[in-house]
Amino acid sequence: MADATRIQIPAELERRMDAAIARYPSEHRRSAAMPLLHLWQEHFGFIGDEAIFWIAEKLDLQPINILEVVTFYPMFRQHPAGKTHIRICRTLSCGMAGGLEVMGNLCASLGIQRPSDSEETHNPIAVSADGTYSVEFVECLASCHTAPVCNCARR
Amino acid sequence: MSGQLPHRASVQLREKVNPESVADLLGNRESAIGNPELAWPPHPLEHRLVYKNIGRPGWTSDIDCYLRDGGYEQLRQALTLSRDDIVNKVKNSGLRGRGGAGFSCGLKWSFIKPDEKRPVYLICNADESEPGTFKDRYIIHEDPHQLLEGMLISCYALNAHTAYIYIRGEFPEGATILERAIEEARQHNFLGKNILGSGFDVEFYIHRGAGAYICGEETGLIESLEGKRGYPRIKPPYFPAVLGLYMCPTIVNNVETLCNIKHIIAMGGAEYARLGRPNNTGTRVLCVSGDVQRPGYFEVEVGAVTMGQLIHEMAGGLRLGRKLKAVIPGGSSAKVLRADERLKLKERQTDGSTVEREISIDDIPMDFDSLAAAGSMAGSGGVIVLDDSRDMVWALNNINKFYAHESCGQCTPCREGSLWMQKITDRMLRGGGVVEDPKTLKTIGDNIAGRTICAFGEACAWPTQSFVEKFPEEFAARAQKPVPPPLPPEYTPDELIEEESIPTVPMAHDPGWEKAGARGTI
Repeated sequence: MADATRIQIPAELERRMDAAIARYPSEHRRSAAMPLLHLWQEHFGFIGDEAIFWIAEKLDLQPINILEVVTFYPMFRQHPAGKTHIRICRTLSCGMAGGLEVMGNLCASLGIQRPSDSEETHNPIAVSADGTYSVEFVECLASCHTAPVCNCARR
Repeated sequence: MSGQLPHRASVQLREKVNPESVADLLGNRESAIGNPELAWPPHPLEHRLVYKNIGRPGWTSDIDCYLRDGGYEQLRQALTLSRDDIVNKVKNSGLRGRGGAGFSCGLKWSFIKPDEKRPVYLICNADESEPGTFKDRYIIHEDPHQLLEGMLISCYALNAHTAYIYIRGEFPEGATILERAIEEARQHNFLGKNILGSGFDVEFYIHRGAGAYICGEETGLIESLEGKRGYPRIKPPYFPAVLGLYMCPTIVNNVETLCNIKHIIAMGGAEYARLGRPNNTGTRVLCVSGDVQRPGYFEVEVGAVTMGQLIHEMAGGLRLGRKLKAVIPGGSSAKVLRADERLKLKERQTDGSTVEREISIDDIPMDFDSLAAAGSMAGSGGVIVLDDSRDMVWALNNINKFYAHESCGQCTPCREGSLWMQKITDRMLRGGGVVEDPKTLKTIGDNIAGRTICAFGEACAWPTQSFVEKFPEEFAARAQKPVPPPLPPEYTPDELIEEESIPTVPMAHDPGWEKAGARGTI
């Protein structure tokens, strides 16, 4: 079991977390679960077990209350992504405009092996061997008129 | 360890990526094509109201630019009116929600009791995720103060002192822009304590989603805002206005709907209602994507243009040598329309009588009631055009994948059915379609719609039901194999059972342990 008390959280990060908690009524601290997870992921790159315990303690919740949120929302990841994480839209308009080919060519040029369909359900992110790039198919990014669309996030 | 955070993750949307060459995606350069050709000047058939400033030359998203253009005037005006006045104006305007369901905004608002003791919340639904829809993206990114002004007027009318903007996780830049806009508005005393000396206090907060389509459903959104999984709530109560966020009265409105509030105050309810058609008032932003030459956004008076005008004139028509095959008129959930189908549409005449007219899909006016009469829906305004090069089984499979991925998993028909439909279309694409498949698809769809807690059930069933119904020949062509005979009943030889049995030592608390002997097996 991860020990939440041993984690060093930078003061600035904790300050931003406290500011996020203050946005909700004091009796509804649970609302801050998602903002805290976003802040954590932006800082550490992914949400490990220790994050789940630490955030649960911070919000006076059970760890399962945080874990269920992490596993429900596709944007929260429990494993690191690459330094540049590329999300590629595969939904209809992008799919018709070549979104699937973008993924194929990207994987070919980066030497990334994509997971099989059944594996992808639980592990959608594929990382290059050196950890520089990672790719992921996502659903509609709401820019269908400029298809195919990708979203690049650099850390 | 220093207290400094690393640079915030930079996020860049790459548009029109060239599938053949992904080099520009990997290099540190901006997207090769950059911003797409902006839809400016507006098409002559457009009526820009909410999108007045979108793509406008010289327009920036900061408050100074907005104020120079007469921004926040309607807020000042609204603060001099009584709350009932504003709600009545919205009622008279006939404004219908622009998020997808098309529910009357004034009616929704009137569910809030004037003498409500509990806190009232306003939530702006900026979880724009319906495939084919991208209207809210531009309002958030280019004209955030228009949204804030609409929300401020709404908060005042509803006596809501706190509002949350639930913005989808995939819009990190949008969230940053809105945060900045909120800060600017606070500095100008449009937000905070005693706004503009009116004695009214109001606070806005941003809440970022994290990639779940279901959080666009208003009760799913509220659950998500409460820090839980986005499971839509069981109805009744049918409206969060009764029990919403933190079990308090809550109004959830779409971004475009809230922007319209500002224009209703500016024009007056009755004047606004003269735009569009009766029961389909105002303007709305239609998003065209897919196989057209000039995909983009077009703000039109509701029902003022037909589908043919929208596709062939405004969106530049189909690519050279291609013919129209199908249109999905209101986001991927809307039922597909086939290009060559004829529809009977009842039209109300000015004298009150109705006349039935047979029309082609090109003649359907783009309004709520006409599209509903045509058997589909206006939905979120996302029009996806498919030309004759498209394989409809492939298209349905793509949509099915979306819904199978996005089903929240709460209700069995949807959780199992959406994946089942995807598996069938997957198999059909791989060449394993059996003759029963189209019928099975329809049956699964029929058993999801109407049997789930939220409208996602309909949203995932309608594409399958309509594709199979409207394009039977394409589905039949991919479903040619005979149904395999049922497998024989399972038979396991006794010696195998003997081999596979696991020896155990019977325990004193196992029933019958004394008879089991030394070689106990289970």
